[in-house]
Amino acid sequence: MSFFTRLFRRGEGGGAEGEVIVKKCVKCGAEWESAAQFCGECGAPIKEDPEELVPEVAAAPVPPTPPAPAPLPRQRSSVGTPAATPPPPPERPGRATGGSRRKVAGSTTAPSRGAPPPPPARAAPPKPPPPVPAPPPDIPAGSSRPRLPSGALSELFSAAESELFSSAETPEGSPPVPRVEPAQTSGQSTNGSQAGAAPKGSATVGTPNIPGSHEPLTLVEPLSERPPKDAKAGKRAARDGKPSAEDAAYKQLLDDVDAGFDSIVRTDEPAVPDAPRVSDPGDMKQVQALFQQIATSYARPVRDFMIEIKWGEPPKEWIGICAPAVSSLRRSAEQMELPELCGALDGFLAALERAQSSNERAITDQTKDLLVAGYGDLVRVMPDVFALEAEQRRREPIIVQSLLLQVPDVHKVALDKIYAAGLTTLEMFFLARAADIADATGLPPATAKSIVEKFQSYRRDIESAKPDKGRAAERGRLATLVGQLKRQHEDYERIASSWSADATAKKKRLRQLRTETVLQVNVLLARLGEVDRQGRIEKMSYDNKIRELERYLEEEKRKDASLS
Amino acid sequence: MAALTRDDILKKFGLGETFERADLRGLDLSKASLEGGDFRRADLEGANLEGAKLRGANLRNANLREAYLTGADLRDVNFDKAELEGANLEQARLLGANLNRANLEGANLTGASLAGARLTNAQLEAANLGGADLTEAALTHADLTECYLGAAKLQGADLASADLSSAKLEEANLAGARLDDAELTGADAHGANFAGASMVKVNLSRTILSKADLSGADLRHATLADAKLDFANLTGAKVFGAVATGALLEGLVCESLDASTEGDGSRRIPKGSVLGFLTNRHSVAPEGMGTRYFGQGDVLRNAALEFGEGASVQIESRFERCSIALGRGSELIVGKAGVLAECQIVGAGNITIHGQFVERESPGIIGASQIVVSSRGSLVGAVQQPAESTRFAFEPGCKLRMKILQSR
Repeated sequence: MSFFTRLFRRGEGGGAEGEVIVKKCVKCGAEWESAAQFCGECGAPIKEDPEELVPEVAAAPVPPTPPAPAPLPRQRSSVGTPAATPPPPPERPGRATGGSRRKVAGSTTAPSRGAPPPPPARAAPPKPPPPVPAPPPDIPAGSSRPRLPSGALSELFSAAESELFSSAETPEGSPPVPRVEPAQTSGQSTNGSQAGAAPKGSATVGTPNIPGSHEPLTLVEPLSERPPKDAKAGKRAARDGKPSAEDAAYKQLLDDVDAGFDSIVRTDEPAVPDAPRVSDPGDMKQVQALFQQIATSYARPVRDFMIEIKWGEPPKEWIGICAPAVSSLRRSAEQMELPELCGALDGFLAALERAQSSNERAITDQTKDLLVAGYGDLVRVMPDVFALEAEQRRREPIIVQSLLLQVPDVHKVALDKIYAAGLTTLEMFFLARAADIADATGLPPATAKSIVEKFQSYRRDIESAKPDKGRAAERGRLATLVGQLKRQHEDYERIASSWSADATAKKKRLRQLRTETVLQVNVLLARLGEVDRQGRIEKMSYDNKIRELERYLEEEKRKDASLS
Repeated sequence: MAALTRDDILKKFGLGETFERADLRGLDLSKASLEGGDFRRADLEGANLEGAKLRGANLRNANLREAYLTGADLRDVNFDKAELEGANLEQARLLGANLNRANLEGANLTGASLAGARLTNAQLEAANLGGADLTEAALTHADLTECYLGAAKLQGADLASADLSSAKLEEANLAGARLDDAELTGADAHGANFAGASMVKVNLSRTILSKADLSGADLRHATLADAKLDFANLTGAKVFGAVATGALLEGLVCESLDASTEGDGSRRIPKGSVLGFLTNRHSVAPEGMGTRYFGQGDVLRNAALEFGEGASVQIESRFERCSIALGRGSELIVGKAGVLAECQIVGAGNITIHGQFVERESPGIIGASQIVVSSRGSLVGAVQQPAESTRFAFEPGCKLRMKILQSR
């Protein structure tokens, strides 16, 4: 009698596709799947039926699902069972799991409805369970579902699970369905072994691994967008002797929030529809920290805008770039339950709207005050994300010095005098008159006039530059400068080998031009917030400077392309 | 690109290996400790040596073009004939370093410490030495054209025969420096301090010396034509033989001038006469000591000429078999068209040859204090030095067939 015949004879597992190892009850002779340790009929221990074991079946790499909540000792597990048995699956209260889920492991089909309830598994004397904290409110006490760290996490898990079970019924060949990427149990990564092994288009059903007690999140993503995770990470972690689950979980959480933000930016839709509602203060802190981390990157255009506002009167187009970013942050803040931030973002959004509705082409002083006040609230609520001082302190000195050094007759002595007079910020130079500078510094009036002209010209540049999210205008200008620098450098190198008087004069001129171009590049890089890159480039030879700048522009172009 | 890595270098250095002629281009050796290393003729173009410790290292003839040496410890390093064009040596410590004949064209030496460094014949064209410390540094014959030396400390530095044309020396401190025969045409030295500097025969044509301190400076035989000396301090300056044609003297501060031949204060021009002295007599020379000029096209044969102390003689003519006697401190310039064929010059004068000199009998020149042969000049003959020895300066390109004899 074949195994399938026996299964069908019992009326369990109709439509089963998997193959199982069979064990026989020593008392009543009933046959059970390999993972069963006790007979469902009489409760006696069961044993394997060696004559029924077909070699290929025995070798089938399908891990059996333990029937009992508590795993039994290893020596009692059947042939082909992995040594490290995954922990028992969660059972949602009220869900009709069917007996087949306990008898047939590896089945990829939904259980047949109306199947008889499984025989109660009599487990070996259970080990005392580890201390379990009070279950979150959405999980009934005594449920077999493992404990979750917080309500937020359990809710997220529920969302993921519901997503999973709804998709599990999707017929094969249908468009990619969402898949549950099981979170890891402590010390064991299951991504590669189970989720990764599931055939594309199907779902890993019924045994989403239970997150460990610290596991914050499961992911619900279309298969097509995320390749199965390999087991390398776990192996690496094991090799390093470090627990990988925690790191991986943290990474996953980070990825998840990041993905949420990505979707905000791309679709302008709420990023994380099932975002967790965090109640536990510890988790709240963690979530907020993550939010801050990622929001810092997403708030960059807003910070850029506010820095531009501090430095001059930027065009109103900036609002078009900032408003969506602020709105997205607002939605996420709401989902993250950050009411204070929501309020501050609302205030800033209102200020943006008012600025947008003004008739002026640029951001005028009045609207500037509004925006600055609104932004002040944001800085107060989340200084790590919105504070400008640090960013400004990094960018501004480079811009000021690079602009000053472009003025003829401004060298070390003049610079020292200017700084000694306290003229260190762009704002000061924008407001200063030539006479003021000459008086304060003792520089010749002609030099002071040139300084004022230089800064006013820069101010006009800022105000006239059409902003966009990717700072394409500035990068376009940078590309032009890089091309110019390349030509100047090539000419310089060519002429450097010549000894004629004419060549010497040309060489001097080209050297000067090259220096001026680099100063202009410095200004642009600082404006783009690429202060570290500017620092690196400064230490390079001209050849390498040009190469590095070209690489940067190429990278940015690629980023743009991938975003669009 | 370099074949060796940073680790390789540190390892090899630890084993005492040499890096002579090694290809180390573009390497990051920042903060590396390579004291006393041998990098002769090594290629370190574009290398990053920021904060590296290279004290006493030998980088003779090494290529450090566009290298980044900011804040590096380069004390007593031998950079003789090294290529440092466009290198960044900001705040580097180069005390006592040997940079003779090194090429530092367009290099950035802002705030670098070069006290006591040797930069003889160094190429520093368009280099940035703003705020650098060059105290007691030797910069004789160095090319500092269009160099920036704003607020540089050059006290006691030797800049004799250095070329500082169009250099910027604003607020530089050159007190006690030696600038004899230096070229400062078109330089900007406003607010600079030249107090007590030796500037004999310095060319300050069109130089901006507004508010400069030239008190006690030795400007004998200096050229100050069209110089801007407004609000400058010339108190006690030695101006014998100086030429100040077209100089701007508005607001000049000067208690007195020293017009003595020897610069020993034996002839004082009091405060009240200073402006008149300088404006009315653009060539600041005592009575009866005017310039003698022998124009082009004239020929003088078998003549014996004698010029007194402090005389200035310029010859653009052709002299044949002539004997010229020069008084102490006199100046003889053989112009580009001037030819002294089979002649003899005797006396403690200063001789500058842009044209030709050929001796009649050896030695052709006896007892000259100084002989300068410019790039277009030629000298054929023997020179008999006086007891205090003759000072020689030969520009590249000059033609020489000469013998230098010790004083008898």
